[in-house]
Amino acid sequence: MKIILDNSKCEGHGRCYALAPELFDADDEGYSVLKITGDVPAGSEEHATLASANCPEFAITVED
Amino acid sequence: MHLQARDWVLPSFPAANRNPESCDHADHFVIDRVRNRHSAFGLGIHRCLGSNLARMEMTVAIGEWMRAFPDFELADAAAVRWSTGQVRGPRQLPVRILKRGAE
Repeated sequence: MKIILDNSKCEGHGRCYALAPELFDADDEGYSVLKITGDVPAGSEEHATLASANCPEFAITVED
Repeated sequence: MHLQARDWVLPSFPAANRNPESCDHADHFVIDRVRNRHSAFGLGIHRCLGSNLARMEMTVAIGEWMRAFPDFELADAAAVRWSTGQVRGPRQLPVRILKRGAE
């Protein structure tokens, strides 16, 4: 599973780094940054899916 | 109603949260809804600046309320008064305390 974060859509709601702090972090202005490169680590797939499903701006997609 | 190019539109965020195509049981109050792409704090560049503070406040307030009043019920459904407009929520919500918890 891979996470694709579209920074041009992110408005800094912060739900991704609240729900999946091991995958996302906030930059200095509160916008989302991905903490991982490549595949989602084993055990974090549900968090990745949740972050995607809860992003109000549709900025996060996951691909198998 | 016909919209013209460059007309201004004010969408209703509370109505978007009732969209059954984007939310399971959209008309039910599900406090632990896990998949929840809600727009309660608005969307886009004007999304609520205080949303993260609000979530922290709610986390503390709900926890403290439940600690102080672990059991309660709606006292009078007819007395509930709702706000209107873009900010949706009860302005008056009479409840009956059934059990008191820790002070």
